[in-house]
Amino acid sequence: MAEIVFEKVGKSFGSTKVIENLDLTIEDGKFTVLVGSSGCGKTTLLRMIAGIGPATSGRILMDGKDITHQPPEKRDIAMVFQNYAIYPTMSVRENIEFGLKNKKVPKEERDRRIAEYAEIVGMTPYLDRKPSDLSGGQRQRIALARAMVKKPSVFLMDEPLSNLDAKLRAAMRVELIELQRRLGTTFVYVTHDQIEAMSMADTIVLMEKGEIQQIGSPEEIYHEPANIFSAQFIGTPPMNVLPMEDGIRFGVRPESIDMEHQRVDGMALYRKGHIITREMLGAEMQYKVRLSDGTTIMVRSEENDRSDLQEDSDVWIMARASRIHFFDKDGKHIGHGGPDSLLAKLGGMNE
Amino acid sequence: MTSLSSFTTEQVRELKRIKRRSWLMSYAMILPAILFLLAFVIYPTVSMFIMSLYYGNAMNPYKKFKGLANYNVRPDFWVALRNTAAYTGMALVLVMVLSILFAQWMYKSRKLNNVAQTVFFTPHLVAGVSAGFIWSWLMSSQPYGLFNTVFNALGFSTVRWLDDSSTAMFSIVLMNTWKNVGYYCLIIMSAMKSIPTEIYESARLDGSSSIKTFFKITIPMISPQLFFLLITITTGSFKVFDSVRIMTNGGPGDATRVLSMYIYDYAFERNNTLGYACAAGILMMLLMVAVTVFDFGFVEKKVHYQ
Amino acid sequence: MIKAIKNYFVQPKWGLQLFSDIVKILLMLAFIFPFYWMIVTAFKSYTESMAVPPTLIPSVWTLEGYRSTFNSGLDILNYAKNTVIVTASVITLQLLIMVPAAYAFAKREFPLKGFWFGIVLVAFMIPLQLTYIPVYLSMQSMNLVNTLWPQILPMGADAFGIFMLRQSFKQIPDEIIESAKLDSAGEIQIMLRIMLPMCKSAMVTIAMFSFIGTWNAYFWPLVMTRNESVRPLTMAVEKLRDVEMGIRWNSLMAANTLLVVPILIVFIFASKKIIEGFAYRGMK
Repeated sequence: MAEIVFEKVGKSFGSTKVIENLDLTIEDGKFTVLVGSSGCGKTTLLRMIAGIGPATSGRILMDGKDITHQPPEKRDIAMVFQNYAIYPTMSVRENIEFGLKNKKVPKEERDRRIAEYAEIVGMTPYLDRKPSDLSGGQRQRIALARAMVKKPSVFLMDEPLSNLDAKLRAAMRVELIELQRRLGTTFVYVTHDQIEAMSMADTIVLMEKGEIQQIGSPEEIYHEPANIFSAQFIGTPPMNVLPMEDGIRFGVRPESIDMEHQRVDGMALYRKGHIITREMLGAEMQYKVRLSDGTTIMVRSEENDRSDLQEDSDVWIMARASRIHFFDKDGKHIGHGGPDSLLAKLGGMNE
Repeated sequence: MTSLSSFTTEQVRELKRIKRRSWLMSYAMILPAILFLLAFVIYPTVSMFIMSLYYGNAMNPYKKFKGLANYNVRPDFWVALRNTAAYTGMALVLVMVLSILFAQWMYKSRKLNNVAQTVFFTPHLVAGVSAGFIWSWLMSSQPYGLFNTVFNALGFSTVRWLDDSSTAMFSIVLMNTWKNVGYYCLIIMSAMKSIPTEIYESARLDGSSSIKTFFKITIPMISPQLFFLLITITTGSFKVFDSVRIMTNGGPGDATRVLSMYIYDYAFERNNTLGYACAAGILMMLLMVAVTVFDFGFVEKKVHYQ
Repeated sequence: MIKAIKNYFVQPKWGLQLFSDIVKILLMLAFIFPFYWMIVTAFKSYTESMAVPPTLIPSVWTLEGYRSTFNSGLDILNYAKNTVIVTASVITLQLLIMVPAAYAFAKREFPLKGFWFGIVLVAFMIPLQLTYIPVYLSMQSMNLVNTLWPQILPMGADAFGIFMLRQSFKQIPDEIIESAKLDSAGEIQIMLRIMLPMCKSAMVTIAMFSFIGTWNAYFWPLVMTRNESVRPLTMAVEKLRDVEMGIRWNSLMAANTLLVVPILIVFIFASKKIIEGFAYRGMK
């Protein structure tokens, strides 16, 4: 159990500053996901917690204790790497045992723990195999067992699922959530995949260019994006953002748009559009639509049997007031479904 | 390290201590290697240059300062240089052409080709001394010499191989081709095997003949390795010594006295010419550097890197 | 087997293929013939070795060649002992020096790293043919000329080996080292338990190169020694040519087999590994 606090933390490689003056609190016992595109600094933060890429300024506290310069082996943490970092010359058992041996855990205790955690990850039959004989998913499990067996107070994971195929990834996602609930330990998880972030996190920390864009639960991030970046990072396809006057912009998610041949009353947004492409995604349909002013937007609909909405047909693009987000000229979120002055302005632009 | 400013002095001290310990460890790790390289490669090279400015012998290398006088080479230097150039030229052509042909010939993965590859490679592992002796024996111009027995049986006249100044150098090149072609072939073949088969398939769909494919696709694709071969064979040829010393010892006359042997002779087998030998050695190194620079300047432009 | 033969004649252009294969086999025989000739000559009597025309197979197999090698007045066993000691020492010395250096250059950060690695690169380009005169003089001034040291010590400076081993350490992902640190492993332990086992193959390759190189060395011992008692086998073979009245080819070839056969035996057992190693060296 541990809470991690970053205080005015900075990191520079040579003369390039990756992170400056960052403050962040990672709550005890929660599943926190650091998400952002590559180079946003999320892995840098994780490595600071691990102690393998120390901060160049500021302090990091773990349960109130300054660990900024503590060597990694003295921290009560375990880490799972993207490429798993399995020791290829050791058997599965030796891999799991290595950390315990180095910590001088007695033999019986080691054996007991190895048996316990090998069972949890389902690797008991493979304990005496060499990693080279195992599949990607199995290596992933070794990496997990190797981390868990140390019973750390913080689990660090650096894109642990990105080397797995899509099906296995979805299954492991669920397993990791269950694991976190069962252990009740602080998990810090790094990913570039917004779906992983949304599905697993208690708290999402969304980062870009070394700065935190937003911290919140998946629901908050989705419904109350702090800015355009946040709004467009979450959701596939990303939120449509269109200009109004004075640098004000409004946004509407593809899945919040109603698309019909006829105008439907009671909406806040009405635009004429022309369907360019139509993709059948199974449960959903996705359309690319060109508006009369030439801009294109994406529309996503759960009505997957609308044979009347074909390519090259003219449609009305509509959305309810509550679904419309407004952003000021700096990209900051003003609100959704309001204020009325902006809704009125939007109404004035309707077709 | 301005960003350290927000750390307390104690933290900064701790950080520095950790760093210093890690640096010390690193230096302890490279120290033996660096000391050996300095003592046995770098220092001798410098010292060789200094000695080349003196007149002396192995007992007293610095008898008398002569400035650059040793670099005013004697006429026999040009003979040695010409011999080295002749050796290099013949070796380049023979080894390059043969190893490319062999590699193309054994490219397909088949049992016979794998065995052939191993067989052609074997001579490369044997000492130059051994290979030199075996070939001297095969090339003996005595009536019991095997090559000449075969030649005579086929109706050709006796060739005096190593005993004839017009054939001696070629005979040594021939022996070294036997010794090395398998190695170079191996390098070219690994390069050929790393060419994706899709490229060949696509060339076939484009209607390219196999000869055209070889010149337009294979050769350009393996050009980095061909370039490596060019450099290795050239610099290797400049250093040739063992086989020459065993097979002809520079003879007949001076027909096979190559540079490395020339330097050896002046260093150890004559009086007070140590400085001159060193000067010749420095010249040889400069030549090697010049050839490599030339290769990089002119040939590398034509090399295709992936 | 029959199926294989059948398949052979089914392939298009099988005639051309057959011709090519026959030429290939003949060429292979030509390539190993010199070795065959060495071995059979060693088993011929002195008279038969000079027979005209030469016999392809000895009419009488005799150990006369070997006997005269060992009775030539040269202490062949001592030469062989020198070769073995020098070879084993060079391999050990090189690994001891190279492994930590290559590891530090590949995986550690320290000030002036670029400069020191530059020295390795420069040394890599300077040929032995150039450095032997000053090295010999130093050995002379340290009174080491009549020992085996001049053949061992200078070989510790193998820039190429450092280069190659560094390459192989570099291929190990940093995460493995970081992971080991998180697993509370110390520096020494990371090196011995993780890095070395992962680079075993590269180290075997390097050891093999230095075995072949040192075993076959002729030039270096020639310039470094002035005394028969410290000279290796390669020089014994050469000496054998000079001590006899006229060359006794059967005896010379017998000595030569002592030099060649150990290498051939190693090659037979490790041909795949050796060929891979040489191909790797060429590709880099």
